[in-house]
Parts: sequence; C-alpha cells; structure tokens
Amino acid sequence: MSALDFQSLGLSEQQWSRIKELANSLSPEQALWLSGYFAGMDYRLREAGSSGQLPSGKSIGKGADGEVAARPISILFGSETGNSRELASALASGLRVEGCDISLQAMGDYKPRELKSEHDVLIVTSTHGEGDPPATALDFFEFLESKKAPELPHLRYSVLALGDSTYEQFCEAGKRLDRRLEQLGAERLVNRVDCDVDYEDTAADWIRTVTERLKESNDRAQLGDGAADDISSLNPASAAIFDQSNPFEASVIDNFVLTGRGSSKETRHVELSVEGSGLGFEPGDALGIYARNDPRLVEKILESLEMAADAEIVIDGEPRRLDVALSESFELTSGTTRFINKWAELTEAEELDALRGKEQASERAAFLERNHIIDIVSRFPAKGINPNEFIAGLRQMRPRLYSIASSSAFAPDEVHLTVATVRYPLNGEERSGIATGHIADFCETEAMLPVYIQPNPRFRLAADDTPILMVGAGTGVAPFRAFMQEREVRGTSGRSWLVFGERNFHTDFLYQTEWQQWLRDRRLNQMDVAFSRDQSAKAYVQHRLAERSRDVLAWLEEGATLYVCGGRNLAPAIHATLTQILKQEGGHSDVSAAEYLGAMQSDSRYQIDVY
Amino acid sequence: MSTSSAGSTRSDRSADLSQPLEKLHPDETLKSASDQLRGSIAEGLVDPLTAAVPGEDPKLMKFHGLYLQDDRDIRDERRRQRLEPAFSFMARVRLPGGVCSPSQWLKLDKLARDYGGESLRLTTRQTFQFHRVQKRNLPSLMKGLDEVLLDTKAACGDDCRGVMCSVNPSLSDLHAQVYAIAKDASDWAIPKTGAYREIWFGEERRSPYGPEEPLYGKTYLPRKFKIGFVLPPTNDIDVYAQDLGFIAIVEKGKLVGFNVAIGGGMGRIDRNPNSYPRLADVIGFVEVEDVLPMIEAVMSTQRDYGNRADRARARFKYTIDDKGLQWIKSEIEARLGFDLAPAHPFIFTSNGDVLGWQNGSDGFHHFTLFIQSGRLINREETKLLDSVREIAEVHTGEFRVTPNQNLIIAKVSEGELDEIERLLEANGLSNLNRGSGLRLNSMACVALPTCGLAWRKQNATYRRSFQRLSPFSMITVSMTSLSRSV
Repeated sequence: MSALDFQSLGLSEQQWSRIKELANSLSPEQALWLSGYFAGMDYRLREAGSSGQLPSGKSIGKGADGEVAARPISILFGSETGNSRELASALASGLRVEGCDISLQAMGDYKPRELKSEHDVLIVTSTHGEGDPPATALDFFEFLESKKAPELPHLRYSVLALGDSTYEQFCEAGKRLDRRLEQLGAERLVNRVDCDVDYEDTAADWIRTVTERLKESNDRAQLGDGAADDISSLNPASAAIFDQSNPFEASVIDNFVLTGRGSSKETRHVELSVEGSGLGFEPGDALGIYARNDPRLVEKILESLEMAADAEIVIDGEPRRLDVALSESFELTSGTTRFINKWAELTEAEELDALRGKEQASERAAFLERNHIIDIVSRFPAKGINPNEFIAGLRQMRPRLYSIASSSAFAPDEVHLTVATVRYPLNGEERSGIATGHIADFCETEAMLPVYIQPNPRFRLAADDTPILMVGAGTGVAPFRAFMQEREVRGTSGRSWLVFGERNFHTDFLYQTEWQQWLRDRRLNQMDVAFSRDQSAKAYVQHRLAERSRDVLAWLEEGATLYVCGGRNLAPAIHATLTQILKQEGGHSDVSAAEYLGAMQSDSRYQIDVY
Repeated sequence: MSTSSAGSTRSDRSADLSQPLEKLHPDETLKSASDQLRGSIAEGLVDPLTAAVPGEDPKLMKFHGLYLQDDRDIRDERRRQRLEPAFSFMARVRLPGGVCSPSQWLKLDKLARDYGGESLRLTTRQTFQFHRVQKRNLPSLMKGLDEVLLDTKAACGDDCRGVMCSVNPSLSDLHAQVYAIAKDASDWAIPKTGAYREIWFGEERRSPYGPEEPLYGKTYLPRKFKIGFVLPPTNDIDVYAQDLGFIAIVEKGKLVGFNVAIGGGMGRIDRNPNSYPRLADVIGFVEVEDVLPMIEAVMSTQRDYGNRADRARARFKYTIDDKGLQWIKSEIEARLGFDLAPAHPFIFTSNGDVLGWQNGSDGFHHFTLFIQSGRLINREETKLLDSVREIAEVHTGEFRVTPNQNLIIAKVSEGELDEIERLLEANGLSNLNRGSGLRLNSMACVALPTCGLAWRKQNATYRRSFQRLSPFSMITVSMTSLSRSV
C-alpha cells in the first residue's frame, strides 16, 4: 500500500502521521512483529463485529478471503538471440503457477527508474562480444551504472547470466548487474548463476532455486514488510523554500548534445538533481537559472580596464570582490544604452557620444549588436577609473527561464531541460550566450547551478481524458516531453498529437527515439514532423497543420487543447494557419474564426508559450 | 563429410517445402505472407519519423536489392543522443557478367553523386553497390537506374543473385558469346513479381496470367542461389564457389557447351560445425541450348528439397550433402528429361586479372584498371570517380567489372586508343597499376562501416595478414566477413 491509500482505509491525517512516525523508528524485526500484532488485532476486531472503520474486504497484506496476496515480482531479460527471453518466460510461467504476480519485460522496454518501487527483480541476461550487454539492454545498463541510479535498499534480486566461456569476459554483463545492484544496497535473493553455451541444466537449477526461495519468503514474511517499506521511503516535505531570491543549488547529473554529428545546431539535454530541495513543479512550468559569465571574459575585462580582481566594490551597501561580482551579478556580454552613456562620459569618446540621445536609437542598437562590452572597453580605453563607476553602467544578471522537459512524477527529484546553445562569431572570436554558454561549457556532471521554479499557470496539461494537440518548434518541444511523461505515469486515456519542427531530420530530431517509443506504446497517437532544410522548399510546423487541416479541425471540435511552444515567430504563424483552417474546413469567416480561437483561449484550450 | 549421412536423410522431408509453414523457419512465413515481396514497403517508405522501414520489411527489401544498414561507428553515440541509428540503405545493382555501357556508367556515376555519398563500389560478384542511400532518395535512385535499363532485383535475398561471367579480355569473341548466355540466364532467373515496378515506379498493380512467380512460388528459395559462367583458362569467377557453375567448353575455337558444377559455397558460420565451405562438383556436360533447362532443373530441385527450417543449412551445398550427390544428379536429370553427358576436359591456369592493356581477338583493346578494394571515390591524390567519368564521356565500347573488383575499359577501338591512354595518364590512373603483386591481387568486402556482416574482423585481419604474406605475390587474397552466408 502507498501513502495515497490511507484515506480509502478511513484513517485520519493524524492517525496516518503517527503511523508514519512509528514506522520510521522501527527495525525490520520490530516491523515484522508488529505486522503480526496488527493482523491479530484485525482478526479480533472483526470477530467482535466492530470493524466499522475498515471498509469491508480491505485489510493490510491479506485479502478478505485470507488468501496470500504475493508481492509483485518483475522479471527482466536482456536477449540477443532469444535464449534469455525463453528462460525468462519459463521462469515467469513457473512463478505464475505458484500464484505470483509477475511482470515480464525486456530490459529495453523497461523504465529503469521504476526499480525504485520494485520489490523483487529477477534478471536473465546474455553477454555480447567483449563483456557487453545485449544491444537492447544498453540503456538499462547505462542508467543502472550511472550516478542516476537510486539506492535500492528494499529491493531483492537475483541474476542468471548467460555467456560463452571461450570468451575472456565470460558472463560479464550478468556480473556487472549483480555487482551494481549489490552496491546500490539491494539484497541478493539467490546467488548469481553463470551459464555456458550448454545452459539448459544450470539455468533450470537457478529457476528452481529462485522459485523455492520466493515461495518460502512469501509464506514467511507475507505480512507487513510491504507497508513498512512504503512508509520508510516516504520523504517528509522539505521545510526550506527556494525561489527566485533564494535559489536552490542544483547539481548537474547529465549534460550532453542531443543534436547529431554534422548538425547546424548544438542543442543540449541537461538533467539536474533537485533532491532535497522540496521544489515542486507541474508539466509546463519553467526553471529559472542563474548563470555566470565566462571566467575568461571576466579576466579579459579586468585586464582591459587594468583593475585588480580583488578590488572591493559595494553592491546594495554590501562589500564584494570585483571578480566575483563581475562573474555572478552583472551581465558582461552585450551592453545597454546606460552603458554607452556612462562610457561616453568616462572616455569622452566622440564616436560613443554621437550615439547618445533618442534620435540615435537605431544606430545605437546596431552598434550594440556589433560591439559587446568587451569590444567597447577595448576600443575606447578608460584607465584608472573606479570599479564602482564601471559596474554602475552594467545590467544586473537576470535569471534565464527554460521550459522543463520532464515530469516530476516520471523522474522524481530531477529537472530536465532542452537548451539550444547560442554561439556566434563576433569581432574575430567566437561568442556565446551567457546562460547557454555557461551550461554548455561549464556544467559538467556534478557542477552546481542556482535554480528556482517559475510556475507557468497559462501552460497546463489538460485533463486526463482530453485530447491534446502539441505544436513544438526546436527546443519548444521540451514541455511536450514533460506532458508525455506525465501522461505515461498517469495512464491517461486522452489522445495526443505532436507536430515537431527543426532543421534536419538526420541530426535535429530532438528526442526521436522517445517519441518513437511513445508511438509504439500508443501513448502518442499521431506525430508529424517538418524539417525545414531537408528539401529545397522550406517546410515548417504550420505547413503540416495546413496539410492535415481536416484532422486539426476534427480534434478542435472534439474539444482538444492546443499547445504552441517555440520561438517568438511561431505563435502568429500558427494563429494564421488555424484561422485559415477554420475558414477553409469549418466555413468560418475571419470574424467568427477569431471568435472561435478567442473562445478557445479563454477556455484555456489554446495555450501559447513562446520566447 | 558429403555422403556419410546421405542415406538416412534422403527420404527426410521434414524441413523442406512439403511442410506447413509453421514447421519451417519464420522467414518462410514472412515470404509467404509478403504478397510476392510487397509487404508494407510502400507505406514504410513514406513514414517520415524514421529513416528505416518498420517491422520485417527490411528482410523483404533485400529481394529488391536493398540492405538496411546503419553507421556502427556512431551507433552508440546516437543512442545516447536519443536519435535512432544513422540508417541508410545499400543498393546493389543487378549487372549480369559485370558489363555496362558508357551511358550506363555515366548514369551510375550521377546517381552515386546525387544519392550515394559520392562513392561507387565494385563487388566481387561483378556489380555496383551504392552505399549510404537515404530512404527518401530510394525511389529516385531506382527510377534513375531504370532509365538506363538497370535494376536491383534479387541482388540480395533468397533468390538467384546476379549471374557472374568471366571477363577474358584476350578471348573477346568467346566472351561475347558466353556473356550473352549469362545475361539470358540472369533474365530468366529473375523474380517476376510486379512488386518492384509498383513500389519504385508507382505503377498500377496488374493481375498476371497465371501465377506471379512461376519458378519461385510464394516462398522463393530457401536461401541465396549463385550462378556463374567461366571461360577457361581463367577461373576468375571461382566457379567452384557457385551453387551452379557453367564451365565453357571450347573446341576448335568454337563454344560447344558447358560442363556443369553444382554445390559450391565458401561461407561458414563461426564455430558451427554443421556449416562448412564446399567446392562444387562437376556432374556432366550440357549443350548451349540446354543451359536454361538446366538452370530450371537445378533451381527447382533446390526450391523443393532445400532446408527451410534451419537457415544455416539452407544453401544448395547442404541439400546435396543431405541427399547425396548421385540422388541430386538423378533428380536433376529426371527434371531435364535426359541424362547428362560426361564432362569434357578443361584446364584452369589462373584466377587473377591481367592488369593494363591487352589486345582482344576481336581487334579491340582492353585496359584493366586496378581499383583498391573496389572503392571508386574522389580522393585528394586520385580523383577516381571523376577520372572514370571523363573516360566514360568519350568511350564508345563497354566497361566490365571483374570478380577481382577491378575495372576493365573494354572494347577500345584503334581510333580512341590514344585519347583513352591520354586520359589514363593525365589522371594518374596508370600509376594505380604499379604496386606490389599482392596488393594488386587483394580484395576486400566493400561494406564497412555500415554492414553488420563485414564489421567484425576485416580491417585488422587484413592489415595483419598483409605483412605476413608480402613475400608471395600471385595469391589472390579475398577478404570477406560474410561468415553467415553459408
């Protein structure tokens, strides 16, 4: 049973919190004893006919008819030639005969994060080549052997390894899993068995031993341990509140380029751990990140201004070291009007002076585009000025917002982002955006990033049974990954349709294999793609909508919620296409189409998130 | 190895065509249910979410001469990037005897530049392969080939593969005769399904008179089937490695017929003792007009008796060893309606190519050009693709791909000799023929890095063995990793 069940049992909040408190203080032996105690009490209460508080037929651990309800058992296999699969299914059918609740899955289809909530896991895997796992199991191994793998103190497991002893790394894949699960704190139910090419007998022995061992332990410890496990794994809500003014230091778990070799873009997938932060978020929300300036840029500016890194400056009455402030508190890439004004005064440079004033706005903007702060201070040197004077012209560092690309129900304690790195040449060197450059170049695994949640109530996943039509261009696809993860966890019935656009199919199909998997699982019902640079005629997401205008209208008429996420130009393009569809397929006039879309917006059925 | 178990297995029909599909290998069900190689290929081609085709269609596409492959060098990298493998297709042309015209060459060259990563590869079965063809470009490639009367039918799959024929520059009159027969044989043995034209050219389906595949039926052959014609004294096509080989018999300068060899095949599966290489047995002699009936008799015997339960035992060589050579020969003779005449004497004296210029008996000149590993690409030092294109633009004869992955500029007339020589010289192609004897006689499978079969050992093995072998020079080293192609 889980924490959510307590209300259905009729327990009050107060009772529940006492039970939790008690459970957290128990040793496993005590828990086992108490489970028997409560079972006896249950019996006595029922005998006395005073079980009014319990809904009939529900009790902890035992069904109403007294039959043992077994712990669920997961059997996972990694198979290259089919032998592991066959053995795993033999094991599964044997255990089912024993009345066990069995789920049998290929490692490739299994979501390794679910290990956290497993009780018993039985693994059959072959080894390939020089100690490698079967190809389909690579993701599983990678997750388990990475830092992302959770502690698994409640898990019991056993491994059957298949291999070929003429290879040096005999059964290595199985050995790796066995080792790693032990490291993560899981309990070995039965020792690993390694099988050679003639595996039949050895494997049959393992299957027999595992089956007996599970039967024994089920008979012995049927009651209680499930409840104790669940209670002890509950996380008390964290007391600390993190927000924009008090960001949480999240650590980077993973950070890699999503776009394939030869791409014209560098789009990254970043995973952050927010474990222990108490940060809660919903699909559609954004993460605020405080980035730092590139230390090489800080150094160059200090050099150019001939200022000491440890010079003291004052910000809001607080003394700070100059280099730290320049790194964290001010933006050092593009300048502002204020900076031009300030620098014109300090240097008395004519060229800068000529850019001042309202009438010069467009020239000034063009100048600022071509000249960053570093370019201005090197072209118009001002020696010996007070550091406080310099920073007075700077803009305070603003946090950057990124749509969260994961669901907390799917990946607890994690926040995933999809970040396109901004890089461009300027004045003979490569420059990058402050935040995206920082993420790309200075956020390896275990680096820390100050973050907070920026709720986005205007971009919310619709009710479970509502069809959703998601239109995402580039990194705009991020929140839709969160939507799909959330819907997967919730097992929703509403249909979903994704329209995605990027430049090139071969390299820029962000999260391609994840969409493919959702399509196979029929969680995603329809997907269209537009790759603008794969053919001479450019194709964008709005063209795909127009091509499927009849379906678009049908979905809208059925009450679908429409989401649009991507660059700034996306929203008007989609709006125009929708208007056209309503006119062409729905017989609307310009006015009634506008009303139709307006009504959708006020019903929150047309939600836009552009940047 | 060949006859000991034959007696007991001769009457065993538990693994052949007589059995219901469910008792045979799943591929038999796949072929049978494919609607004569249509499957859902047409739908898969237009699926924009993947560069592959779904389900079992990749297997069916082999019968259309197309292999789904992916770049293994970056497979793991892309998996992490949540990108599917870098899929592309290898397209293998059906080119009987390796002969093509200059206009066909120019088209192949253009298609390679447009869709095949600017590379053409010559294979040891005398044909061209395009590699790294994207799914969306396949229809254009196939239409392009059709424009010059080429296709990729049955260049892969369980069917009669492209028919080989000796190149014999010096015996050019006889070559022309044998080549014509090889071409006929290829055309006769090609699958007749309308699937090819429907899928690749979008043609309407027409209902055929009678069965769509009179020879192959719904399940085609148990495994690939290779036919080759050799013109002694050069055994360049390795006639003993063919399922069905024809050895031209020339008496008093005239082609009188062919000795027939059956049951060759060099492939074996690593560490599977039930698979082994086998040299073909010469079983008799047929006259020229009996070549096609002979092919029908042999292929239909293999179709009816070949092992369809275990693909590792499905090649014709195993059928012969399971049934016994004499039994198979009798079966073939029964299907032919006459007994085979005894084989005529013949002699092979070499199997490599003679590089450089040779004069043919037809008065033409023939230049054999060494192509390293069969790869025609433009490199910094030699622009091979460009150079051969220049030659094709002026050449009026033909090109021949040799079984040693070299290229013959054949039938060069006296009048164009100077110009071809000048082009060879100017582009540095003559230099390619100057190398150590061994390097010139070495061959390699052309499929790295996208072919799974080729992947395993080739590169390293090749380099290592090279160093060891160097003192010898007239051995032809053929390096392939098609260990599964039993």
